[in-house]
Amino acid sequence: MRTSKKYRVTLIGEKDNGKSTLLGKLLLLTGAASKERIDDAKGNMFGGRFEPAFLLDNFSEERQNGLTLDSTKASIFYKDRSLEFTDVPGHEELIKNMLSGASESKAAVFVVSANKGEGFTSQAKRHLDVAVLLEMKSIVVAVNKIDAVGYSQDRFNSIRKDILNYLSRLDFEGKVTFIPVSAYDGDNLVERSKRTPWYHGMAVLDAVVRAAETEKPQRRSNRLRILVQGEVQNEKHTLFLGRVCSGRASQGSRLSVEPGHDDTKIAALFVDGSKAEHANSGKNISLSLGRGVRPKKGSVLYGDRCKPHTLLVVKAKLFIIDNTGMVRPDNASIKINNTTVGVNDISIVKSRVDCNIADAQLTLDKEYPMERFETVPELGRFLLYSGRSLAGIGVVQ
Amino acid sequence: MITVPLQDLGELEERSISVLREAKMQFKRIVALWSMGKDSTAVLSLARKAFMKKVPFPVMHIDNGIDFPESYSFRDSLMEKWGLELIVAESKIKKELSGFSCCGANKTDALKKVLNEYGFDAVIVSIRRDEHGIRAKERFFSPRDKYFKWNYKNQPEELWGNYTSPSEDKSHVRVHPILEWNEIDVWNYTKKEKLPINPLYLAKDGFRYRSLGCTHCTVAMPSNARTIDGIMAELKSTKSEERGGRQQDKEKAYAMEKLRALGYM
Ligand SMILES: Nc1nc2c(ncn2[C@@H]2O[C@H](COP(=O)(O)OP(=O)(O)OP(=O)(O)O)[C@@H](O)[C@H]2O)c(=O)[nH]1
Repeated sequence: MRTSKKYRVTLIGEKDNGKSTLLGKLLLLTGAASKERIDDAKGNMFGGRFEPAFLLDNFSEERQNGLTLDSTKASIFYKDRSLEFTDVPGHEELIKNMLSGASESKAAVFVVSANKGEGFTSQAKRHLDVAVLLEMKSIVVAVNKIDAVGYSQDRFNSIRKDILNYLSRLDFEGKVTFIPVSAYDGDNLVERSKRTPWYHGMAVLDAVVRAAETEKPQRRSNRLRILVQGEVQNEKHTLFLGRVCSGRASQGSRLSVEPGHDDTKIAALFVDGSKAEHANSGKNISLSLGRGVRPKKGSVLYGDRCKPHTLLVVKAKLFIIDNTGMVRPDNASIKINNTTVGVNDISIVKSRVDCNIADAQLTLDKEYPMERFETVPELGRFLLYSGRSLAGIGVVQ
Repeated sequence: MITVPLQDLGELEERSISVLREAKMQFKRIVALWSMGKDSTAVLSLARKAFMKKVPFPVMHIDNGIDFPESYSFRDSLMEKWGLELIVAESKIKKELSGFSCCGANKTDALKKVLNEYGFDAVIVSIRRDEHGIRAKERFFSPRDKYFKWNYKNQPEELWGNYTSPSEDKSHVRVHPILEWNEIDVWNYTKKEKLPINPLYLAKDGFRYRSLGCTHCTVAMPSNARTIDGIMAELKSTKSEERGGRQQDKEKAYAMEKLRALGYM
């Protein structure tokens, strides 16, 4: 049996614009929904019409209120690609659930209603902000409910113009594709619809497959970096648990512990609990180090001659959930790889009118090694907190 | 026909191992639920990889006395082979109950009792997103309050491997290391690692169990799969869900949602 790498795609867009309907309909059209799920959705219609969205919205409250509470994943295997879609809630109060769902996606299907009054709202813009912050390379815009506006090309074009305008303000450099769809009826989801003869482009699923095909491998660093997760005692020895974030770890590799700049080397290396010579990027490892060196949870071990990109002052792009109150530095902190670091100062270098993305400079209250998101994603993305509540997310520039 | 592609096992394993390690670092008293089924056995195998081949926390069997005999002998042999520290939580079965009320009263109550008795602050549970629409909304680290309630309307954020931290107002945190795996991936892993399996999963006289509950609620399905390869071939083209043989899931609308809100796995 073949294994295929997952391509992660998130649905984004304002509430009620049809994200769950679109994904539910895709599941139905590609035969990816199980019989139980279909029966369950049909058996709980609350007196209304059949809603494909119920294939994703499984909580009773979600169905009664026609609203997604929390993210759900669903996989579709299409044209030899394993596509993992995440449906996220559109409601503005549920943005932290949206962020949790969208955070690991490489592309987005942005669902925006062509209906008067629904359209390109400020909450829809927040979702686009997030896609751009996460450096997604492709956005497929599904201009939905085209049935409700008489399959109007004019309406399609006017929405297209607004969105292109907004994306250029965000300095979005990726690919964007616009497709008129009716998620409920299935027009232009898997096959081109006859009801939009003026549209000559791809159907949604093909546009997603193309996004997956044209995805360039990231320009990842190949220098050795190991993130330390903690330590355990093993027959009198201390073993450090960690994960290789970039490069390749080898028995004997020379390391510098950050923060602290302590030099050491790998005395013994274990993969899956067995002694190993090498471990590649992505592997969880156990290590014993030179005597006296004691990295903590959250420390990063750097291979020879490689130094952290930032330690105390971090240039980052931030998405701020509520930008009216801005985050006050006196109770701000960031969380990265389960390590919390206080923030002494946040200064905004560049903000943009009407959007929640800002370029900022953060001064941490102690040194913490970070990397550019682009080169070592694991060490270049963080959560921003105001007190105990999530205030935003950021990626290191 | 639904084609279920295999996910990349390497990727899945690394994620699961780092979830297990994070749990070990964050919590003081961890216990793993072990039903002797394929999923919880795979999780114990992953814990052995994460922690130098020794599962560093006790495992708990919620035993209502009516599990299959095959499960008990499977339990005892693996316990010895892997040096597991086993806790058996007896749950008294009430004759008149079945399905929803049975799982609610028995399994969940037994779990509550043991957690309180031992003061566990984290419970490792081998649920997967593909098992049930409700479980699809879970997090890797999922807090429960002192009434064991799952506050699914307001779950903590979980991004980029940053998990919720322990705090005062939680009774315990459920940790779900194989949340992202599909049924077929578990079999693929079981095969690769040559893990022992409960014989009930393989077809005998034209029937096999796809999911193991207890003798009261679990129904065998027609099958000729006598090997893991046979099971995987069968799964590749099924239109049915794994828990189809479980009574409690389909009894009433939203039974799973209600069970889970009460503290069920
Ligand atoms: N006319 C028409 N109605 C649609 C279409 N797609 C979705 N709808 C309706 O729009 C409503 C909202 O759809 P959902 O899929 O629940 O919207 P959502 O974007 O997932 O909303 P949240 O989950 O709250 O973010 C439902 O009543 C759908 O039936 C469409 O193509 N045409």
